[in-house]
Amino acid sequence: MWELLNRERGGKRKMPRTSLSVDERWKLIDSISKQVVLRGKYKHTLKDVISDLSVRPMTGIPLALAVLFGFWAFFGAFAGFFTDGFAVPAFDDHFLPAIQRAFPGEGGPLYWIFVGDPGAPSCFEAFGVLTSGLFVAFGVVLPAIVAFYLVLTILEDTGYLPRLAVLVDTVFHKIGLHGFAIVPTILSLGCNVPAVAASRVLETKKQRFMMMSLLAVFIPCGAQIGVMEELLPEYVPAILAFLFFGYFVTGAVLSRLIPGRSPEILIDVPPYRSPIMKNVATKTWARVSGFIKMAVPAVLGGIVVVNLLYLLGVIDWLADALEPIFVVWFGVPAVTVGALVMAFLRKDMAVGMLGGMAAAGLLTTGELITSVVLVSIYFPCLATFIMLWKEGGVRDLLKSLAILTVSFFVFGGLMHGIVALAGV
Amino acid sequence: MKFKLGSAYFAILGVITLAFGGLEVVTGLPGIEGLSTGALEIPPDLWRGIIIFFAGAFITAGAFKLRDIHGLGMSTFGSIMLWIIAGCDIFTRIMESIPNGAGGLNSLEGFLATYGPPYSPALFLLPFSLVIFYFIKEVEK
Amino acid sequence: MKVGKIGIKALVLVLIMFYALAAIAWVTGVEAPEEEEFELGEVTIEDNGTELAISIDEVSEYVTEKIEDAMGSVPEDMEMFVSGAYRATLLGISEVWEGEVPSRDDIKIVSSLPEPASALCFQYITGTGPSMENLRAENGVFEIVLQDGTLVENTSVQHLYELSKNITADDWKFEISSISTGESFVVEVKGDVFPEDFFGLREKVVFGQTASEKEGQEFTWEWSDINDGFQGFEDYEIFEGLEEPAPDSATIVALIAVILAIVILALII
Repeated sequence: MWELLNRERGGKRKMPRTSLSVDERWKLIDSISKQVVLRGKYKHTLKDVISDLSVRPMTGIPLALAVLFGFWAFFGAFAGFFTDGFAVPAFDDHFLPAIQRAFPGEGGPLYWIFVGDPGAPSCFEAFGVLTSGLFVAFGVVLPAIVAFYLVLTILEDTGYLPRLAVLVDTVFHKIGLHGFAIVPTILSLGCNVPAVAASRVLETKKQRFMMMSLLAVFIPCGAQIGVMEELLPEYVPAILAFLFFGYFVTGAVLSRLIPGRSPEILIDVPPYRSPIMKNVATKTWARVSGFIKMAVPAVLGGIVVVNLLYLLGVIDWLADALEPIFVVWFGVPAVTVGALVMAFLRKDMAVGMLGGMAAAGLLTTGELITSVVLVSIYFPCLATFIMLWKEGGVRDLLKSLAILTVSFFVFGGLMHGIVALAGV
Repeated sequence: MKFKLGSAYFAILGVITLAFGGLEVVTGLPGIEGLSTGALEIPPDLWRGIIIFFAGAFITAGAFKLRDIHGLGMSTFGSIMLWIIAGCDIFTRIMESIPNGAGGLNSLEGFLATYGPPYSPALFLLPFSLVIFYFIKEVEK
Repeated sequence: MKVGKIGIKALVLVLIMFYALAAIAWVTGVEAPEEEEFELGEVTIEDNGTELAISIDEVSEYVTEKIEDAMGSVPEDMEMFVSGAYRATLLGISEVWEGEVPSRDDIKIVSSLPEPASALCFQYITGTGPSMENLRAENGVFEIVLQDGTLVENTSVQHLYELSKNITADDWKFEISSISTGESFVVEVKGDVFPEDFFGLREKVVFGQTASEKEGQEFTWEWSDINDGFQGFEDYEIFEGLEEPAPDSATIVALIAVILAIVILALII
């Protein structure tokens, strides 16, 4: 190395030095690379061009819109096929009447817990473990989750997600995060639990805390979106847009309030490639089966707990106590308290409960929309709550809950205002 | 000569796509109804309209430099966006054609009728956009 | 890569199939069969030159009045028997007279079902019912002949009510015939219209007085469902010996041709 450097200097230096200046280092690097690196003109392939276009804002953003549209259309068609095409008729026209007749002790506490309302015309309204529980878990949520994870896995394997991260980097920088935060955000649209775990990839405590809080408060999970699509298909895009608005506004505020750094991350952007179907199937199945193992017992258990609270009069007591706040600030009737209690256990069932209330004429469309938003932002579900505790510790959990409380009142009230102004 | 014809072809295709996209944007605005004429239906969807508009713009932009990999790439990029929209339409129809809405399978006539008109512009444009594969092979040669 | 090639091949086939189906649907103009809710028609007959359209409500009113007069109250499942008899009459008349309006005095109905509500329905249509002298000018013939060939001479409400205690699904057989030409059609209700042991439950609830509340509820649900079926299902769904109408053959041929073509294409590519 010293001989090389000496030669570069025209052989003037006789004694090797023990350290190099910055300029000398760069000269050394140049000289080594001239000898070992072959230089030529790189010929762009079609893949390179498309890859390049995917990350430039002028072309990348329309593509991102197209991909999101495709995601949404596939989700709606796939879930609709299974839910509206088969699950709803099978459960409402055959299973529900049969179990309403066959289960003993009609009107008794066990009947109410397991079958629900004996006169309910649909599984959504019945709210029993064996009626609403099975219907929501397998008829509504499962197809939605399969559709979501299938598309997410294909997007990952094609290499599009890192490009999306590059595209949205500027936007996320404005709220103290960076583009790669899009990955936990999209994951959260499936289930908040792995998304909170995925926040580990962020470098600083500030970024991790912000990410986990924003995900838990503002991003509805796939199960919840599946039920929303079933109940309010025409309002779901508006609700999601409102939640994302809340996400960015709160993120911007938190970025200024929370001390700490928001450094850059270097990520590898792989080339575009065709996804291997076997890999896609394996990954999708792994995610879906994990979700089923976690979600189904939680849904069924959640219904038991909420029904018990109803039977013991706890929900009615809470509704009476909170009625002034609900009616005046949020513009929803106190009956929604039951759904909010359920939302702590399972948000998809909570939205299902609201749907049942709307079908029974207890909620107007506007009140249903506001209630759905409240359910989304009010408390993370139990599984996410535990994950937040595990990842962030008690102090961060309590801070997240404080952020949640403020967001709940601010954005819940704002939603009430928007719905009232829009005259829904 | 081939590429000159190709450029003209994709320029026209791009402009038509752009026009349909513009129409979908207009019909997607609040208060304006969708358009339907014969077998063609312009769905009132702002989001779709924006995507198809940009798809048309990219196809047109790339058409003038089709021989160059960057021009071809731009047209392919626009075509991909069009394929996503058309693919969603096709997938939705296939999913809708199978159940009969009462928990069972659709009748033969019901199944076939699902594939009947009207069709969105993307479904008409899709087969014409597949010509890009020919030029991709030519450039790769 | 092999998997990539299979993926593209599958995509190409799906596209070809889609556009082929779209072309067939467009060219043939096939429309989805509308979810036509079955509409219960009226029994149209001629009585001394006057055309009468008898609705099921009219029949029900008559039957309810006669049973109330005779027994003081109406059994809860009466409606089911009226609906079944009414549907059988509609079918029988359409099969025997093939669109023509029959004359009341040309109609002969022989029922195997010894039960008052269905009997009164048939009697109303044939004009042979009690107190019908002011309601009709002509009358046909109505008889109840049991499965073993016994003619039931006493067709009073009370007597038939007693006989109905032991009825089964096999008794739901009715012969509608034209007296002048001798042409007849036998309408037989399908056994699977009735849930298992429906008639056993009926005997317990209606006659036995020993049924539990749950059994009573169960019986109500079951006869209501059967009644809904008589009033809402197609003929081939409730009566024996009828076939479901086949779909348009031209459409099927075109569809089969397309599928065969695509399979051949898949093998070639």
